[in-house]
Amino acid sequence: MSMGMYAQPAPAVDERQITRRIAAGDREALSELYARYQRALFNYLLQLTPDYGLAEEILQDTLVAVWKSAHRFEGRSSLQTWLIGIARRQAHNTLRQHKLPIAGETEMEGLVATEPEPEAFTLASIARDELAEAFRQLAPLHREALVLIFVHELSYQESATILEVPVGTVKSRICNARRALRALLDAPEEARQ
Amino acid sequence: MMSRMSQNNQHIGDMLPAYLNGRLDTASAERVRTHLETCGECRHELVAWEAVSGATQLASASLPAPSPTLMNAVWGKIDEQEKSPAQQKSMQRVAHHLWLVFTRQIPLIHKSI
Repeated sequence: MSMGMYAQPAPAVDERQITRRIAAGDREALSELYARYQRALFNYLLQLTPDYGLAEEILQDTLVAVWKSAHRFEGRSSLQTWLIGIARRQAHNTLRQHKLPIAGETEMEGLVATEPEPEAFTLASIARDELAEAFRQLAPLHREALVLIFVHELSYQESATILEVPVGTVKSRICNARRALRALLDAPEEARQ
Repeated sequence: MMSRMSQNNQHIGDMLPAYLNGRLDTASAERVRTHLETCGECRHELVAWEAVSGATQLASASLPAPSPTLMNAVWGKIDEQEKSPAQQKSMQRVAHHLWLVFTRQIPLIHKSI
């Protein structure tokens, strides 16, 4: 299973084995899982909250939840998809407790645009650094969808499972994210500060 | 079933992100490749998605790592949660024992009165 920019060899058999060991109370196994997925999970959580301390707290709770529920992993999804799903639920619980906004709760999903858009030409001509800076200013909802697809390299179906939305919504969300990126780049320099 | 010709004429914009991240099945990836050979608009779309993908990866690469001692806090939380039920059972056993001692004293108290 691909792990995108965090790619490390993780054959399916290892995924079942490591969760079985965790379920049996093997602490070394949880440490191994953490070593393998810490960057991927922390990166994902930092899309949901800019607060480093809060993201760490959610990551801790995610690992506690993995420790308690490893016996439920059946290998129907990849381990990465399962872990990100747990991280997302923990994040939503914590954000709710802190009365912080949660990505997607007030979202208006648009239709998927399948026709080429005029901004396609200009997006490709903008410097990568400038695009990355605009990405950082996107709404958490849009950053989350783009990161699942382009960083974690998940399929539409896997992303839909994590986000608890239909596949069509994943497609429209990343299209909307691209439009939002374009809009940020069109905004006057001072408005983006 | 859609003919190969009409499939090739249909834009494949919504498949491009999955094509880029390598998560399309073989048949769909082949369909995208074939379409891209003849469709300039979709090739431009692909270039735009490559830019979005690259920016997403660049922004993600610069994010900080979690604290090296994070697992210590995790073990602390796990130990606390695992200890709690055991402590509760132990407290219940003590309370039950005290209750037994107390109830067995009642006849003695009654006699002494």
